[in-house]
Amino acid sequence: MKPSRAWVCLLSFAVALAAASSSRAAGPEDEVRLFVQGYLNAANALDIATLMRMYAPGSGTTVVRNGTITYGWDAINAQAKRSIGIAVRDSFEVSAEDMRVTPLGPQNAYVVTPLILTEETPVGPNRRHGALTLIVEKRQGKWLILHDHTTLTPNP
Amino acid sequence: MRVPGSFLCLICLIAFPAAAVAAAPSTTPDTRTEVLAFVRAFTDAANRADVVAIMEMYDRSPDLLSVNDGAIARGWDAVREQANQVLGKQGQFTISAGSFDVIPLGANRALAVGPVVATVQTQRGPVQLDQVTTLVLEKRQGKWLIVHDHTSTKESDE
Repeated sequence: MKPSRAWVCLLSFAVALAAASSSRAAGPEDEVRLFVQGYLNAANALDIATLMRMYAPGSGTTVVRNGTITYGWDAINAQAKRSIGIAVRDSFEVSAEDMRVTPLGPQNAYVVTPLILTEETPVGPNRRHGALTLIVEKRQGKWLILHDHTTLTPNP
Repeated sequence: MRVPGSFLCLICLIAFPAAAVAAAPSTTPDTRTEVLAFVRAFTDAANRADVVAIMEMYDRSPDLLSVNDGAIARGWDAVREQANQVLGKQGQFTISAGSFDVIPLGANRALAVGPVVATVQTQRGPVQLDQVTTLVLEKRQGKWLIVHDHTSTKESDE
């Protein structure tokens, strides 16, 4: 199974978003921002172990990459490991800004952020826009990802 | 022809399996049943190109975010504009949804995720698009509303 490029993008777009994020941590929204920043930092460092600790364990966790669902922590972990090879080999840069965090009660929130993926190709850089949705839940004082949906706009 | 995904949603929901973590909430029958009914109504409205009914199912808020194949529509008015563009063409597409996972997010909110197949009529005949839709729903005054949705289409080269 070919790893999705959308998966790869999550392994890299930490820098810009992390730089734009605030370091303060006052309420749930700020906690979630810091959580997402940590997630992106781990992704940018290709730190799959840290990344996967941020997903909720169990079969109910889902990840969607451009129209394809991966069900369950184990399958998501396997998919992430397969994507590492692509991340190392490919040359790309992802930037994100304007992250919005919306609380859904005291224990849940969803995050939406636009992103830009620039891939180096033999004919020059290929720039694609996209968006990321994360649904997170706080369990025993720790935020975890229940669902993650990333989409890049279709190539022209 | 591309069809914005948020209007190409769902139907049959399946129960979300009990989470491995004890703190995780289970899907209550009421929530699952209600979300199932909501999604069925949404799908029926989309297939009959009923923009009014569709838009009544979205949170009427400038903060509404709807993502379709990576493009973000911001606010209820922008989503309605998309709906008018797509759903004003009844008969040009139909949608059918597969098994959806439903996860309660507290007492009055839920996450629904599942596959959707859109069949689009083109000059070269019908074309099938494999999609996945994420819905974040909130129950207000006894009525479920979409507060966020995200739909993506499987790329043909994947």
